[in-house]
Amino acid sequence: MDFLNYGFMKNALAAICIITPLFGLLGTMIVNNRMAFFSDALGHSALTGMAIGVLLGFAGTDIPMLLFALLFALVLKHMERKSSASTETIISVFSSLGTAVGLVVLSRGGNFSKYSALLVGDILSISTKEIGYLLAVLAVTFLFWLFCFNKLHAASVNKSLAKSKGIPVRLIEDLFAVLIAVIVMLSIKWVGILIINALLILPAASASNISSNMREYHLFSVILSVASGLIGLVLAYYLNAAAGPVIVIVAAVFFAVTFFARSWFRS
Amino acid sequence: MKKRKAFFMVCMLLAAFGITALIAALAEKKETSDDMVCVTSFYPVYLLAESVAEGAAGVRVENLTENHVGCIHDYTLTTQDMRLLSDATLFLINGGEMELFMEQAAKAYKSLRIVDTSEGFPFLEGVEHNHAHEDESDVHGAEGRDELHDHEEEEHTDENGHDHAEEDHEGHTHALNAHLWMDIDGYLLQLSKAEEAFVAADPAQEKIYRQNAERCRNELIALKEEYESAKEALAGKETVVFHEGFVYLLNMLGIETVHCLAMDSDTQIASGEAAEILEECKLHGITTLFAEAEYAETVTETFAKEINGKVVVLDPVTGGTGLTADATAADKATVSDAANAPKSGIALYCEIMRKNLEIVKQAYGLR
Repeated sequence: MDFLNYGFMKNALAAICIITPLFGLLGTMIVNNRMAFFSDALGHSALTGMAIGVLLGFAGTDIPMLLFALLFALVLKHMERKSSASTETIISVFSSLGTAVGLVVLSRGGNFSKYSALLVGDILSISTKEIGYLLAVLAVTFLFWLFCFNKLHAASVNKSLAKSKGIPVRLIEDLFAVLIAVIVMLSIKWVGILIINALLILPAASASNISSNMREYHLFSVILSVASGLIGLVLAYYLNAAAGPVIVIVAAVFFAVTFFARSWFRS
Repeated sequence: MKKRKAFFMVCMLLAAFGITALIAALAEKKETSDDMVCVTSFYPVYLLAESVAEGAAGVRVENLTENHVGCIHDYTLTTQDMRLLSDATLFLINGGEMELFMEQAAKAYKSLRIVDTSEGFPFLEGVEHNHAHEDESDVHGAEGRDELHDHEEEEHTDENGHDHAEEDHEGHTHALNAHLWMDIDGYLLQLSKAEEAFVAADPAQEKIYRQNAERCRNELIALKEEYESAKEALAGKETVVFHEGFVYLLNMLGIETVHCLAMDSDTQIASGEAAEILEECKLHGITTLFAEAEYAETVTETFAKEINGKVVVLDPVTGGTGLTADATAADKATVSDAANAPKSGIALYCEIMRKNLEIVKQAYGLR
């Protein structure tokens, strides 16, 4: 347990303890509403958000990234409702555009390497203040889950039915999109664009392999998410590897195990 | 059913944590030494520190980036690096914005003394890809010196508690050319900074550090004289380089760099710029291009074909390309031989730089 002697590992551990339940909870809702691609596109839009921040000369790029992501999420939702093209087409367009604009601006002058940390993320450099932000987001997510999950779930099963029951489907969906945007932007620096979606989706997917009702689904998702985070971080420490990718690999192993366990439960 | 599921979850998690604990137990190394640890950010600084601390008792010099990394523009810290930093007393960095995010990470350790070995060096301005380029023969020398003041001020505000060093610089389209170790004067400056840092951190062994530094200084001055003696024959020549560090090296020889294209990051060359470079080459009658081994066979070769010239491979002393003399297969054998040779520290630096000098001379048909 000698990793606990280091301040950076303590911070990373605290961050993992906040991010993973957050992702576990959010992941179930994302998978339920078939929004896996949506969160992925949001991650990619971080590049453009950062580019805008750089162009406008912001001291920190967090705020422009956040604002752009909110705009991006709402416009994307709107387009989805209006357009006749299928959802994944619209999302692909947005995602690629977000990446391309970001790359054009950030790679000006061959300086992209400065920002490449954004691609992989670096949980080891998280500070106490930033852990505080994450904690606040966790609280908000929990409240959303508590009060809005049933409505969101109803909307994901059947929109017209949900509307007829007096559920404000649009509002709930937009709120959810905004929530995803905020979480993705706040955690992208620590997790990285390339793998953030895996962390959102894998625990929920593993949980859905073995659960037979909503309660199990959420419980397992959170447990598996936290377990992958902790195990991944410790393994990364001892194997001297980047933490984010190791966590994803652990989560993927859980997915494989639960996938095969499914048939065992059925027998 | 429910029991079965709970049983499964518990088993799976136990197994996962068990395997992790096992790996941890196997990997846990008992490293308890009271050595003073000096961490360097990358290879040229490591060579310096190695030489200065040679023979000092209880001092360990460790390099953060493993030696094959090359220039560290796109380096990510691993857990092992963070551990090294938190054990260290002294952190020697190259400076010139080379290690921005590393500095960020290191600032978390209050007791760690971060020493910028390039403090006060008149950096040249780095590559600017989208400049208008009316003045084609300008190597940005004078501009670079002006820029220095701005950057010094910025660094000051950083030190006063702003932790936005990276962001502060993002608005600029230019960057510093931080490869000062390719200029022997620059390396001499780094040497004395390293010397002072060691003396300050460990005054008990001052004598050793001073002696080592003096010996290194003499070696570097001798090397510099060799460069200067070649200057006369080479001065006034013009070239295009594909590594920012080579601008410093060629400057010492009086060779003018008409255009410098940094290839040491994930750069994609804009086609407009490529055309511009080709035009410049034709205009100035340039047929000799300089690149590091890593890129000699790709883009640069295409350029050489276009202008009917050749690519000459120099070693940027970043450890990334090893002791490369030429990209040909025959020389690859000597590369590994040289790497096995016991040379280290400043001696290795001098050897590489001597080789670079020979290569430049040959490229222009001297000897």
